[in-house]
Amino acid sequence: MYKARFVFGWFISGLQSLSSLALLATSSWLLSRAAQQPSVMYLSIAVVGVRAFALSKAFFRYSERLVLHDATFRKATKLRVAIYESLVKRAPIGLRDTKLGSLISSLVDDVDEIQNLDLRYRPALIQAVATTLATLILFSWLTPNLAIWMAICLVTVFAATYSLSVVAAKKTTGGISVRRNEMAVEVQRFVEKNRVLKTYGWNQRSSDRIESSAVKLGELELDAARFGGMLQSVLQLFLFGSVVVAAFIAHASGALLPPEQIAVLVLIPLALFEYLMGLPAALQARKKAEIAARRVEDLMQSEVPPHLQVSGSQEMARFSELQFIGACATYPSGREVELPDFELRAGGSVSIVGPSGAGKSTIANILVQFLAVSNGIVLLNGKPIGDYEQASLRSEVGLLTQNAEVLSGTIRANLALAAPDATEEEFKKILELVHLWPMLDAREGLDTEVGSAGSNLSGGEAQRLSMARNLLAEKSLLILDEPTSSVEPALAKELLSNLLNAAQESGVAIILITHDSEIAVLAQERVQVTTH
Amino acid sequence: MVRRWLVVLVGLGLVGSAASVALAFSISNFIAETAAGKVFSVSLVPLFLTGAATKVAVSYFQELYATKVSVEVKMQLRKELLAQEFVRGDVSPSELVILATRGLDALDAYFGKFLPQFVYAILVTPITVAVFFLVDPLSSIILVFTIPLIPLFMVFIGRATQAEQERQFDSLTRLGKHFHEVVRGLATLKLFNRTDYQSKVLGDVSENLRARTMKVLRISFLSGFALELAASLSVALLAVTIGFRLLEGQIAFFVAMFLLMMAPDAYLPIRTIGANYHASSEGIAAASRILDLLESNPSDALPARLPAAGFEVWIGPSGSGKTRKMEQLAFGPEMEAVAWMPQEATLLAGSVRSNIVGDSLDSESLGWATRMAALDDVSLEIEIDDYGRGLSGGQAQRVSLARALYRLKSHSLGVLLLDEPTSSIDMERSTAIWNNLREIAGSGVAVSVITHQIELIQPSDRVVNV
Repeated sequence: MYKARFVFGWFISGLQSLSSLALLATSSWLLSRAAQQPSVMYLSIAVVGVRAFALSKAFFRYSERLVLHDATFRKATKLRVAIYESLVKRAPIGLRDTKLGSLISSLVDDVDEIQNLDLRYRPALIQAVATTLATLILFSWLTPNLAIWMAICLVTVFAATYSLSVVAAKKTTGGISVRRNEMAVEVQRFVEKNRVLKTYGWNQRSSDRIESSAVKLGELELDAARFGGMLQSVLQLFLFGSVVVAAFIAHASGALLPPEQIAVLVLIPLALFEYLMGLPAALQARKKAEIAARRVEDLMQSEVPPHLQVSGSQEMARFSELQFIGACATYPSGREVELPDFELRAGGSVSIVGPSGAGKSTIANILVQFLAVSNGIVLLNGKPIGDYEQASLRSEVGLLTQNAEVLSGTIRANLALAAPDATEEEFKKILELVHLWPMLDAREGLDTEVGSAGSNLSGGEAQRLSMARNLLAEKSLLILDEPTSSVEPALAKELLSNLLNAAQESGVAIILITHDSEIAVLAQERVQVTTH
Repeated sequence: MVRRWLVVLVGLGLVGSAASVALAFSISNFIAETAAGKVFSVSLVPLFLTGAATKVAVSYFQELYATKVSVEVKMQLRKELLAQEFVRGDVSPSELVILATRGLDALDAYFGKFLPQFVYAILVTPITVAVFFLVDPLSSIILVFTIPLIPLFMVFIGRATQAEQERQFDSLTRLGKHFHEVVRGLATLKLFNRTDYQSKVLGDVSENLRARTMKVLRISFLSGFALELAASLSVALLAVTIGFRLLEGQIAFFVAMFLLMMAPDAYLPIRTIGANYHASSEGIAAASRILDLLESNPSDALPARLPAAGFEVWIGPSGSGKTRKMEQLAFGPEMEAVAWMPQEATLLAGSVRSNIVGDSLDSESLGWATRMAALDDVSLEIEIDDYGRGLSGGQAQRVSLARALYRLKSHSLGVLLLDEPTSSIDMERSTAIWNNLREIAGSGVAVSVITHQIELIQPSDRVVNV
């Protein structure tokens, strides 16, 4: 839909530049003709032309910008959604890769950068081409000789501008963006870890590194400026050169040429120049947009690792039984994890206990289909877990992780995520169950803002909110992965036994993953894992 | 630096406008003489060539020098900004990072585009009017009446769009935040089968942004339209007036051509100020924020008393200010005498060894520190990245502990401050670590530990309720 808008916008761009050329041509013709003092009526068409082109130049400029911006924003919306959908396929395990992590942080900027391809590069190119063609056509009509010379001049200047821009982009634009990223990483490290760096007397090394990448960046920026200056010089030399050529030919064929055309010939290059001057910036915008586009394409086109593609077609009923039999899992990084054998039935609870790093969380990842079983069998309600359709499985199996993911917005919005149709009363009941209501009641109740990424909540409060969400969704199997790591221990045990009681009453089965033996005793059964 | 740049710009502007006059003069004379069938004066050739060469040189030099100034100013500001005290309330770390990188880079547009354009406009507009006045007073009157229309339009329309524009910038940042937020919460969205719904929300937010931005652009492009129209209609007015005067023989042809070529110099520079100002506003905002921060550097290092020798446990509910109090000690006047372990492990990219020892290497202290921190299951050669990936949470915490212990031992310090040192470590190792810490305290070191793990506290420990 936006494609037609682009074409329309670019068409107006062309018209705009042609109006500008025509304005200069008609006004110089008007003056030269007037100097011959003919009757007024010979001038009236030129007078109308001058006024009309002055108007249309401004009008086309206005509509061109509106149409192109509108089309670009439409395209960006599609791109954003497509990027999001390709991230969804990988989340959360596929996004832990460091390279991908840095990609995501630049995605928002990249989408903006890519827009410049349609917004700046293409219109500038179209305008340069349109004015060039118009000039050549006009010249070949007036004096074919000059048209040939101008064509030679223009081909030379296009070639020079383009190759200089390509060299400049190769030597500087890419390097500058790499160096800027490098420095951003270094500055981020310096700022975020400043306390540690300072305490241990290591900040000098880091600030030296920032300094040295700033120096390198500065050198590259100066190189880029040299190229930019050279490009401008080439274009200006072309302008003056073409004025000289036009003057020379006009002078040589003086007798053959009507006097009013001489001014047109000599001055047209001025109008053409205005549009050629925009080329270097446009080429640079293209280069930057291409770098951004490549980053986005890398992300969208790279294959989703096979271990992250789990989904069958079966509907899952309420949870009844679970068996792990010699199961193994492989992460995209190649890390393999062997999992303990255990069983669980509806309404039961089991704790998975062991030191950190033993792969306890892998059990959770498998049960919510974030990761495939690579070897052995995991049976859920008697069928291999991979047979179930994702959405259906996840409406029965819930996971509460170490770092509870609270979304910005209100408490209500966070709860509605789990149960869009639940009533006010149901929300309150659940919040009371997880000991969150008294705190919220003192603030703004369900409309309390949790802050950006839950910054208004303590670690414990975030965990409790996350628990409330899982209870609301009425899942029949709940996995708690280190649920109390940021809750005060005195409250942790009480909170957990509360939850386990509530779960047992409503028949929800629990898998409790923890490194804390004190907490593990709350479950009916216990599975010990060890590091390999 | 900036002042010198202004002087250079004024010089370049004067030379540049002289060159423009020379070029317009030589070309218009040439056209007039050729059109009249005369042989043009040879003296025009050197005038034209000098003008052309000057124009080329001025623009090359300006581009290069602007970048040089920008690079130097950016480095200077960045250096001063990063030399700041980071423990301060009026700026968040993420804002600092953005200021020191993207914010400063936006200054390029200010030094390279806005400032030169601004100085040039201020110089060249009156010069052009003066030249017009000397050559043809009547046309200069047209200039005097039409030029002020441009800044007038700018101010009018600028006022009308400002509020709307700010709102639009707001929703732009909101979109960025929303995207980050959604990406961060993808796991949760998947767990509640809400990814498709979010995809729709993202599309809606983005579409809303488009609609709102277009509303703003319709008005702000209108200002561009008005300016363009004012400029090109003024030129048209000038051309038509001169045309009719030519017709009546009231003005020489070469003067007419000269004025036609000079006219854009009267309108164009002022018109581009607005556009360039917009492009550099981000840089200006960043620079003034940085200057504010540099001026108001608060040094609120409260003199806090270091704890006495012995083992001390700080307890209290979350949010009671334990961490803040400890950080005041760790970054107070006696910073050099303290070994501090932060609540977050905060490891640096590199090997585990380099995280513990930094640049120095004292094998005895290293061996002691790893033993005391129960770092028995982690090889010192393991490479970790900036986010601590490569280690589990508990391992990272013990590396961070070993780092503090290494500093204590290798610098023979007397105070050890630990902020929740064992919150992610298994019970067996936690108990061992706490016993080691008591042993260290027994040797005459002041050891203070913030904790929520009250089960690890023994009756003999000194407990402080914060």
